[in-house]
Amino acid sequence: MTHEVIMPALGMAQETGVLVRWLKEPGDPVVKGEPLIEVETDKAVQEVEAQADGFLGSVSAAAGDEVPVGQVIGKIYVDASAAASRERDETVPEPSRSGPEPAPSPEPASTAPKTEAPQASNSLGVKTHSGRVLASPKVRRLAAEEGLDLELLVQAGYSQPFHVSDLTALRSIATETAAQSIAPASAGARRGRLDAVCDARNLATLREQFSSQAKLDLPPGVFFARFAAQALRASMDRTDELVIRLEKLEGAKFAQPTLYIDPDQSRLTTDPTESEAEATLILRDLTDSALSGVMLIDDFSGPILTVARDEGRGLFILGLDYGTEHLTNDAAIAVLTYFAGALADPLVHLA
Amino acid sequence: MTQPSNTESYLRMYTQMVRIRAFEDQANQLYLSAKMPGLTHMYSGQEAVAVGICEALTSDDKITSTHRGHGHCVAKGAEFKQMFCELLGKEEGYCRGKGGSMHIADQSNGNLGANAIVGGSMGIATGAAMSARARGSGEVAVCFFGDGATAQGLMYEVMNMAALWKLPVIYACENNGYSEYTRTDEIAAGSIVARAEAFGIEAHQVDGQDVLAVNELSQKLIARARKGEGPFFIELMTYRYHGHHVGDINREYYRTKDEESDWKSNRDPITNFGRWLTEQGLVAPEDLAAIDADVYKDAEDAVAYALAAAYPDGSEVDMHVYAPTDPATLRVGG
Amino acid sequence: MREITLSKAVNEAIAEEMRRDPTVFVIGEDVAEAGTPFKVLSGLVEEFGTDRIVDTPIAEPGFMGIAVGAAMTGMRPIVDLMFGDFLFLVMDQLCNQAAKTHYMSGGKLSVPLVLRTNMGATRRSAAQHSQSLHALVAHIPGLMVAMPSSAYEAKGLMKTAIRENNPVVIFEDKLMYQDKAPVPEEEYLIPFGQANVKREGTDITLIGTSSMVQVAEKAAEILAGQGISAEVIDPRTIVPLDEATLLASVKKTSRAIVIDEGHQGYGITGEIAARLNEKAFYHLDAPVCRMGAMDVPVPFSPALEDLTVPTPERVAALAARLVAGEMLHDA
Repeated sequence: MTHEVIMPALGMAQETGVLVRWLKEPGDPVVKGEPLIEVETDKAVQEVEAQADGFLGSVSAAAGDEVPVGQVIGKIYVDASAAASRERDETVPEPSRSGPEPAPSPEPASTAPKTEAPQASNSLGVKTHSGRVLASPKVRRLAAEEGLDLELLVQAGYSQPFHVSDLTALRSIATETAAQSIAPASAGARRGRLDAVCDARNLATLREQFSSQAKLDLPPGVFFARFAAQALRASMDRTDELVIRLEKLEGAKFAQPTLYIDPDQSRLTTDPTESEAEATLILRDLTDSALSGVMLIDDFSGPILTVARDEGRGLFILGLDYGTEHLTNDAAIAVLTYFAGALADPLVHLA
Repeated sequence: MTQPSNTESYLRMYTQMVRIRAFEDQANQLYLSAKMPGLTHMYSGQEAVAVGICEALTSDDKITSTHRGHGHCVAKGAEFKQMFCELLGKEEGYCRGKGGSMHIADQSNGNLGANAIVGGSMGIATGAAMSARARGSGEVAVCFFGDGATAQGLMYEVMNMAALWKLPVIYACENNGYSEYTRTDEIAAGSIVARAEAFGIEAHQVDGQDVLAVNELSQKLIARARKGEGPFFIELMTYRYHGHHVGDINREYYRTKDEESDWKSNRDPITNFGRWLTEQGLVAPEDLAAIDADVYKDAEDAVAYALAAAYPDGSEVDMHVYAPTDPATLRVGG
Repeated sequence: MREITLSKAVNEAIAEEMRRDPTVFVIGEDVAEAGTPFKVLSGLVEEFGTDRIVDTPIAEPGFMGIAVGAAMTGMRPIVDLMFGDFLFLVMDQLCNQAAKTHYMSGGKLSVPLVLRTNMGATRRSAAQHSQSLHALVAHIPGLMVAMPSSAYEAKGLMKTAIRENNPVVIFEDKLMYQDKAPVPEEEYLIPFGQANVKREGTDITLIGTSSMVQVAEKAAEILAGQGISAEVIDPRTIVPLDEATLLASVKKTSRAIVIDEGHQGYGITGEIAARLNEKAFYHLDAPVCRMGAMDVPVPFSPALEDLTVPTPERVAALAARLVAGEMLHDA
């Protein structure tokens, strides 16, 4: 059940109206009688109320657009999921501006320094180019020096361009994000599970060779992390930074987790990093425990790879838990297949 | 003046004219053989003007020169080596290679520099005369310029002031018949000397191919200028043998070869003065030939020297943009 | 300390230097008994006589050229150009001759002269008597360009200009001739290439030249009322330019507006902004902005003329937007 939002005819001889701004964003709940849009006609701006209860779905006009009277500019859906699924309705042209709609500021620009809170807008409105974060040279430099990603401000809804005054907010967002690097799985996501076994003896032999010939004692986790990263890249064409978080169960307790950043592009001897980057994949090493598989109560939404060992048969027992928002079933199968193959024949896959 | 000292000065004038001719012959060759960068303007044919006037000046007297200025520079006492070095952009040039043919200056001999703006130095010469009087130095300034420059307004502004203030300046208009690629009678209305006369400036016209006539007039006017009777104006009727610049080869659209050959054959200042010297029994023809040979040898040696000389170091490119000022003078009580 | 007008300060500077150095003389139109239309030179001819305070015909290129020749031969002329607009008349003598002589002669000749002239609109003098043409000469290597912002600056800079061994063009704002400022009785000089931090601040740097220094200071007052701390800098000479002081300030405040009364297009504001952009880029939290005169010939009507030059209110408004992090132009 949907209700159409229509550019109203507010004047005597009005043919078009200018959509000043949406007062709701797609997905927001809408109550009948609540102001929904601002429309300008004859230089006067009027608020127009919603005509139905529900959730705002797709919109086909953006702030600043001049729209003929009577044309549909959006839809109200009776339930939220329908609204979300229709947000990218292809029959409706995308709003010309991405991100939260900037609203023209009704007052002259504030002269006070920008506060930490996200500002709704500025007088010109901000048109972001695809992927380009607008920021001053200075805040870019300072953010880079502190290892902070300005994209976090974008995701948090702060208006661009960013300045040094936004650094405080960026720092706190970055801290929160790091704390939540094991992020809760989103409600609508579904998880899958794959199991595999593979020969463990070749890796044992290889590790012995490293130890005797190169005096290198490499724990199995080093190889697991590397092959997991290789598996993600090979199966998913990923070129971005891969962070593998290794959690090793020692006896009955997990040791302090260690992070490998792009282990497939580093030397085997590279130490795990100290940083608190968000993990792409969690790797649970059960080979020093009695467990052969775990499925913990987890907040992490990304893929979780477990490696256990069947001592008697000389096998690794592998498991891949994955959420649908990160891996499709096909991709998950490809990842685990690659990973199993690499562990079974590590020398070839180290090349 | 006694006869021996006259002969000495005649021979010096002869030698200086030959030096100018030899310099220009070499410069022409350098340019045509692509060994010389830029563009250059030959003084050949006008030697009696520069020499006749400069021989009447002291080395403290000032001159300003033109784009056709090698002759003035030589006549005012410059050395071949530094001149050729300058023409070739070498470090040892008079201006360390920064001026080139059109901007040679030799302040040690009172040459305030050639000027690539036609008529551009008329204010400078007049100012040098004003300065000479203010400083009480007794110097005279001579402003060399061509008939083409008489079309510039600056000339009339400064002649007006020079006349008002009776400055010791002599405006020497070398009328070589052509304003670049145009006959002078096509660019100059009325009389050139009358223009100076309109300001109450005493003006003379003289045969610029006759070094003695030029020198005699110059001696008189310069002496009077020193006494405060200036300014003066001289129109020197002369001829340039080459085109406006070295590359100006096909010039029959503005003058005939017959005309050129007539000046070269019958009115050459060096040939005629040499003939007069021998006819007067002041010098034997072989003595003149020896002078010619020596001068040409000097010029060739200087060219060889300049060709082998070093270019300025790249670090000099931003030197001499500003003159240094002694920090002490910029302090209180300085 | 006593207060004297800018006009009197210039007069004192010239008189002091003429007493100190007999080679200094003044040349220009109506400089002697008339003392110039602005009466800046009044009284000098009585002390120094007409040989050193030289009235000329109305022939700017002529007396400019004469000054160049005199400067090349041991004198230190002060050329009086009645209006800055007449610079166009003397360009060959100033830019082709005076500016280049030292360089073209490989350092053998020099041209120690001062060209004093004026600038500044809003005197209802229309398009040919109101221009601020300092960018024109600042563009030419070999010339130095001084822009006094008060009586104090005018005297100190003039004395340095006269002692400099280079051609110096000094622009006085004709609206400031009667402005008074504290000027010490004792002798002082202001060195070239040393900017003056007129007011310290932390949020934005306002760089002003000549009378725009006052505009910047007034803007800083307005901004202070809004809780914005503006630093005001007077470069004093735009050639040489004290980049170090400007850069240090902008690195501190991260923002700058350059204010100048010359036309904004291809002008001083753009040049200074470009240098800040090149050399302080990673310290900038906002674009360095230019505020010059409008790119129109100066109109006569007061209603129009006042629109063409930067005002404290407009400077303050722009500064506030920059400090607020507002985006001035579409991304």
